[in-house]
Amino acid sequence: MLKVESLDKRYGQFQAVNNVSFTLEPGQIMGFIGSNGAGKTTTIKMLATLLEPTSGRAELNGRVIDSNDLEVRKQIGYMPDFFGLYEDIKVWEYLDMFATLYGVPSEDRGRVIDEVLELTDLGFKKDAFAQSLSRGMQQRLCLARCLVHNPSLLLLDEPASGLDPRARSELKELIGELGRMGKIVIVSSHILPELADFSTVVGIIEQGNLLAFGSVKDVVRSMTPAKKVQVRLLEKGAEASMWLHGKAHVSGTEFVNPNELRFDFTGQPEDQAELLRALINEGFPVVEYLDEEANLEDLFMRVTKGALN
Amino acid sequence: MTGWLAEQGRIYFRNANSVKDYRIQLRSTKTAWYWAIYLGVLVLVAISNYGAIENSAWNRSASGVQSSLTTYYQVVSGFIHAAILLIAPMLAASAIVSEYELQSMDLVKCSPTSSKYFFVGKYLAVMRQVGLLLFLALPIAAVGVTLGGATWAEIFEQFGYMYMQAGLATAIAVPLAVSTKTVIRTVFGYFGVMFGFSFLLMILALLSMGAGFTVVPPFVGLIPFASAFSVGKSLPIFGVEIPNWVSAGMLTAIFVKVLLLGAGSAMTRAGSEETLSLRLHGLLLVGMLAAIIGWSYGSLPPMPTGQTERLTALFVALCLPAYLVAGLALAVAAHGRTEERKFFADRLFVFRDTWRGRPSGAIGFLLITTVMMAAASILPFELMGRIRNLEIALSVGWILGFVLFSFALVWLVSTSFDDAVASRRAVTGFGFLIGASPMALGVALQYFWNQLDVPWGLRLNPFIPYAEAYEMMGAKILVLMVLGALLLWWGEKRRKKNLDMMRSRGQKVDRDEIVGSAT
Repeated sequence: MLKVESLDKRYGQFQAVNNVSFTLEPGQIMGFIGSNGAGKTTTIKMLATLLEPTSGRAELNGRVIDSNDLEVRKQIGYMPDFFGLYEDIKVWEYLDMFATLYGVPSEDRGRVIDEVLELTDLGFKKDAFAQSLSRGMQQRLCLARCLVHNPSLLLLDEPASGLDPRARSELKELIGELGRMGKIVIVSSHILPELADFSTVVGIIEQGNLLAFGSVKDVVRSMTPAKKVQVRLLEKGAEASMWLHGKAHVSGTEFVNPNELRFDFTGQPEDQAELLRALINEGFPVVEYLDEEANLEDLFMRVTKGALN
Repeated sequence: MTGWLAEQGRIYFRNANSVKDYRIQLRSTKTAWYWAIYLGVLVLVAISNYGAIENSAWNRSASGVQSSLTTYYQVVSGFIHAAILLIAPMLAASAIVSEYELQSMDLVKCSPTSSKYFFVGKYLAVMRQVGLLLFLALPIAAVGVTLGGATWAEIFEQFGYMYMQAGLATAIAVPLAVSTKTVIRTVFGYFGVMFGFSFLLMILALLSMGAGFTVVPPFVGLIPFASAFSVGKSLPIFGVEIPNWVSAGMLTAIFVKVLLLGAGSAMTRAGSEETLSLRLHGLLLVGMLAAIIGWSYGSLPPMPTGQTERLTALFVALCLPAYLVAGLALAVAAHGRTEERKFFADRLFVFRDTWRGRPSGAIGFLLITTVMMAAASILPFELMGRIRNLEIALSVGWILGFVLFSFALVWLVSTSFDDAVASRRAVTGFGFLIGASPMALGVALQYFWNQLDVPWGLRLNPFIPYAEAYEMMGAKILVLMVLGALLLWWGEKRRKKNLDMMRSRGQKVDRDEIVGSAT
């Protein structure tokens, strides 16, 4: 279990991360969302032991994440938003080096390297030079590097940046698979629709503050007080608009087309059902009556203020 | 014990960073070029030098030719020396800088290995290359043996010193590469440090070798291009002749360890194992240096009996190590108005911080180092019955005064800057003072040895331990202590004002508010 408590990072008078707290269980994949400079990378770096928090703490499986504790690092796999590949080194040599650094016994190293190469679909490139791989393959190699020591926490900072749609799709499947393997995964990304696909929870950070944390649905619900409801009628669109005006929980009625209306609704599901019943009782010929569910991207645009730098 | 041995095996024999670097170095096209140029120029130097000897041999005596053959060996050795001292730091710098350029440093830093593991790996990869370069040069230098210009023992000892110097050069380049992050700056910085290092060792050597170089302290073998003076020499310690290459090897090992630990400590947070180890090894190194100087100086002909002469001789042996410790104040006491606890002075003195690398541990560490250094320097004199109690007291008093003054100055200047690096840069001017003092002492001694009147400016300067009477030394100690106390009072006043200002901005400055402070 990963437990983050009141994590703070301050550089002089600049507060990069402010009182961030959350908890993740094994198998949970957290989509970490925020504008550039919002504090995502700083938080991830603190969890990777690369930065020291000004105050607060994080615990992984009961062990404090501290740069002076080498044991806790064995449980963490960190993939930054750059590759960090060496020149003149082969794929297997690169993985062998990190397997050695992470203390994988020499007798197991060959097998582990083959397994992670198979998982990341890079087995056929084992003897190729790392720099000669395509961008997508290099990204997968970096992920393979994170996996050689079988960590329980994976920190992936912008893993999908610069990848083509096919590579992104493959990466998405791979991350989903890691979650199913029981790993805690934190993924920061700007590609929000894809993040919503495989994240079991999301965290939205802005100016160092964690604005929301929870399942995608809960976060969207909690951060969106009014949902959009769309009604399509056979006729009487204008009358329906007038009838809706002033009804409880209804505001901002607008026409999508002459017989199709959209409005903001702030009531409970029971209130929404009552409104539909009243519409029909009033003789409006309702063809469709549906929720337009807010997505992560809408929510992100609404709650964040944009780049800080 | 078994665990410790396994860990040492992992660091020194199965180091993944070393294996990786060695692979990269051997595959790199640049390396192939360096090797080709090195060997090509070496062979050319050897052939042209030998050709010159051969051409001039017909009209010279046998002993003249023999002397030229010795020159052949020295020229070839000099070339190898220069090449190694240039190649080793460049290899070390590129190995470390490339980690920053390729952005792989973060990946290594978050792996469960210590910075010691990382730097030892880098170091070993370079030293393996240097070993190969020396091995390849051996046949060319060995021509000197065949021709009668040198013996095998001389060649091996000389090559051993070259390997030690390459080790030092590599270790100097490591912390420089970590702080500058560019190869060019590292190499320029290396030249500066190497010059300073050689200059300091030369002064130490000249002051402790005596007239006609009767004693050759072991560290002479570590001075670039001067190692030939140390070949075949030894130093009597407790009546046992210790070959210079043994002592020089030990000194090199500690110097290298201190430099690598310095780089490791710079990369880790306060309280890390590297910082603790750095401080302990730093202490050991200063102690060893001071002891070697003490034994070398103590081995010289009996000390003069006049008060002035005795004082001068004693303080010559003691003052340079004192300047070293004062220089250390720059490294450990500089801080800034920041919340990074490594460089943040929330208090003046906390005993348990002595080994943790926080500014509040600086004064404790400096005092312990000073006492250790003074004891190591004085002990040989005491054992030989060549020092009086009052002289011991005056020696220790002057060193303590000098260190207190140095610390207080660094402490005060640091209150004006936001981070320790800026503070250190600002106090670099103080470095000139440290550098200038040995020179001023040298000038004073020249006057003294030439039986001229020492100028009053030098006699009264409290930073120079030159005195013609015990009372004069006492006065100098008093001046240093008072000046140090005044600076410290002023620095403390400013530091407390800074803390209040930070608190008023909402910044966390109290020890309990900051995570990890208690560790």
